[in-house]
Amino acid sequence: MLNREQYDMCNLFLAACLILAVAWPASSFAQDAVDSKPAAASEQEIEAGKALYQKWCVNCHGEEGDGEGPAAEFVRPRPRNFRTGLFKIRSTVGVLPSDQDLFDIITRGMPGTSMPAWDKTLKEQERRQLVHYVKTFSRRFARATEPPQPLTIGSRVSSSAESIEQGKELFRSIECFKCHGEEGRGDGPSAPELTDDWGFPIRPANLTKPWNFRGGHAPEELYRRLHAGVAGTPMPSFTDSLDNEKTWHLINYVMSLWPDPSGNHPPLKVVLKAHRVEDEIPDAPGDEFWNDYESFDYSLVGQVIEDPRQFTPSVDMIQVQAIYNENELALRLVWDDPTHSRPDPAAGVFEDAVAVQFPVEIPSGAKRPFFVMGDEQLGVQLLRWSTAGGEAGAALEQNGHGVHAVTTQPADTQQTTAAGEFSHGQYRVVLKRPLTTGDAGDIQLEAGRFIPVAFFVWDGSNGETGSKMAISHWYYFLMEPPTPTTVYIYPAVGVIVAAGLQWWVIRRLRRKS
Amino acid sequence: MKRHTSMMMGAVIVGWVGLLAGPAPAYEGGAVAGGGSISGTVKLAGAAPAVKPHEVNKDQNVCGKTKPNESLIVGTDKGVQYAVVRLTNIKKGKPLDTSKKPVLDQKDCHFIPHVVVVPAGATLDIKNSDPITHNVHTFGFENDPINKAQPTSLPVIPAKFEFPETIKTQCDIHKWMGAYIVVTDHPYVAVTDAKGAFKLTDVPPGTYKLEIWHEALAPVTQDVTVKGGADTAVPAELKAK
Repeated sequence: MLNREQYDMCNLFLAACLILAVAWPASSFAQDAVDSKPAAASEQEIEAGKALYQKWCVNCHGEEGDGEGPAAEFVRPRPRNFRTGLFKIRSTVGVLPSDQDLFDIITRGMPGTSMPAWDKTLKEQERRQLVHYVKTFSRRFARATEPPQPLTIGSRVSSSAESIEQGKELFRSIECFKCHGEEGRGDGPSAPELTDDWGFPIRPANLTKPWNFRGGHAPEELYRRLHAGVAGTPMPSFTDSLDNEKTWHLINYVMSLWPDPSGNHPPLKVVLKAHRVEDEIPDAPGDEFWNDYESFDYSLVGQVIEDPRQFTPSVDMIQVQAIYNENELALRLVWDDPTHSRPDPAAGVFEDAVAVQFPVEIPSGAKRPFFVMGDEQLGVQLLRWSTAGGEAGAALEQNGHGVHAVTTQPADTQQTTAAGEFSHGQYRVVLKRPLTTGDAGDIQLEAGRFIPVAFFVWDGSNGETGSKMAISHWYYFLMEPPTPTTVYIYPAVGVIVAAGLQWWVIRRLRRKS
Repeated sequence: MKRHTSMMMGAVIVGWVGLLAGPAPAYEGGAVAGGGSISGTVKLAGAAPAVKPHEVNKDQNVCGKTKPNESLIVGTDKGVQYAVVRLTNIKKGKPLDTSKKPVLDQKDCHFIPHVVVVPAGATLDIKNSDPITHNVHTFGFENDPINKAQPTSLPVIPAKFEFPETIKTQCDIHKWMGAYIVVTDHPYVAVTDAKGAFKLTDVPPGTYKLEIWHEALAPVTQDVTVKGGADTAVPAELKAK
């Protein structure tokens, strides 16, 4: 069991992970010019690059540049193997990237992967030295006599309803959906079988999450990905099948799938607010009712504290809406999962699941249960929904005193109901539970109190079960107190009094005159 | 393409000389008088493993429900189809004909032929005869890899290959679709037929290294001596890898 200090360390670590997950993709990607001539690298520069490589890069990319460093198996996508000279992000015509392309990737990192940005760690000169050394791993660079030529980007077709419609039609006709899915969530029929050039599984981009795009989400970058392809992956070049205009239509359509035109990660809101309504709350997760209420987005990271760990979760965000009425709380949970898993434990496939975690007791001070399903002293309640009993899914109330000490409540105290659906790579689940219950294992919900809340998601097709899952840190849940009726009465009284006074003053003045 | 070609040709001079064990010697083509031939049947040593057809799990309306698995076809009398037989050290012989355009077609979600020979410098027409999109993904190293989408609006992708190499090719959208492109700088290359038979003709008399390669089996190389006007029969057995 972890002591207090270890809790704090874990919390700090998780917080750091979350900050990184949010902060990396948020940096915008500028357009960089392609080199006009190949940089002549001196032996000293290559040697300097080698020393830097062996200090900073070798753990993932390997001593030989083969992407087989000791940490390689813990990251997904796998670190790039440099030996064939194939690089994902290129601004060039042909196979080789420019020096500037490589420099930019080292500088900015790759969103949605384990490749960090090195601009704070390494000086510009050091990053350029690394470029020279990385190029020595493949003789494709040495045998090239001309510098890579830049890809031409034609004049932009601005976005419009017509352009988006044409882009949507192209998305269908050239079959982008085969990998990226009909609604762009990376859940197409070919997605589960895709491998990179080295045979490792690889996922198509979820086009609705541009902050994870490896080469950035500036429109020009999307243009380059469509025309140059993503080398070493199944993403092909469309340069022979898309002219300039069609390319922009397709980009405009893809950008229309984004939750925000900026393409940035949704802002983190620490407090999940539950809005009070007077009426019945609908059960169906697809009900239009939910369109009217604010959504709170929480980043998820792999559970890497307790064994067995999950270093490569496939779900990285959950969107939550909370509504309550006089009797019950309803939580709508929405998350992207590329696969609707059919449990087959022998094949390493488990049910898909989600859980909302509250402490059993609302803490009066700063002390909360350990955020990964509680600890020996302080227990948590889990409202879990899973497809274990069938594809329709069902809810289960559980209690946790640690990730390996989770118990299911007896049948007569199960009061949470659920309705869930899976469509085009997305789960939507509504969980409902009475505000108060008579059960000792249940949290008794009170409006106006800040209640810790955390989230867990399991993607069964990614081998996730038990402690192998995606997790959030503790956030706060607040049921907004109902608006007191005085809020409506006072302004009305004020208006009547003011009008009365005015009428009286005018009357007096008229009489005097 | 032109710039690319000159870049690659330059690369041969600059890069290969320094980086490979030795420069690839240029092949010299001309009239062959009094040549002989090499023939044989490539056979599988040991029992033929069961090879199941590929199950089609998407686009069944176009592709059908199963596709033949051509990764190892063993015919009657253990003849192995789609083995590539080539002389590896021939410097001089009949000319390499680069005028014909070999074709690699994608029809019913299947590459036809499974193994295609392309003379270096010739253009391979990669076709899509299906009403759906494929992607042509080659894994060349000496020749730059290709990964191009081929929707129905792009029925032919002409692809030029410069350097001798056997290149794995696949469609990522339809994982079962696989083929090999054999690039050669001389004409003494053959692909075995359904019986495992091959024949190389008009070979100038001399002793050569004959390589037999198959995607699923261990390759073998042997010395073969050719006499003018005569056929040299080569016994050829391949074992599992």
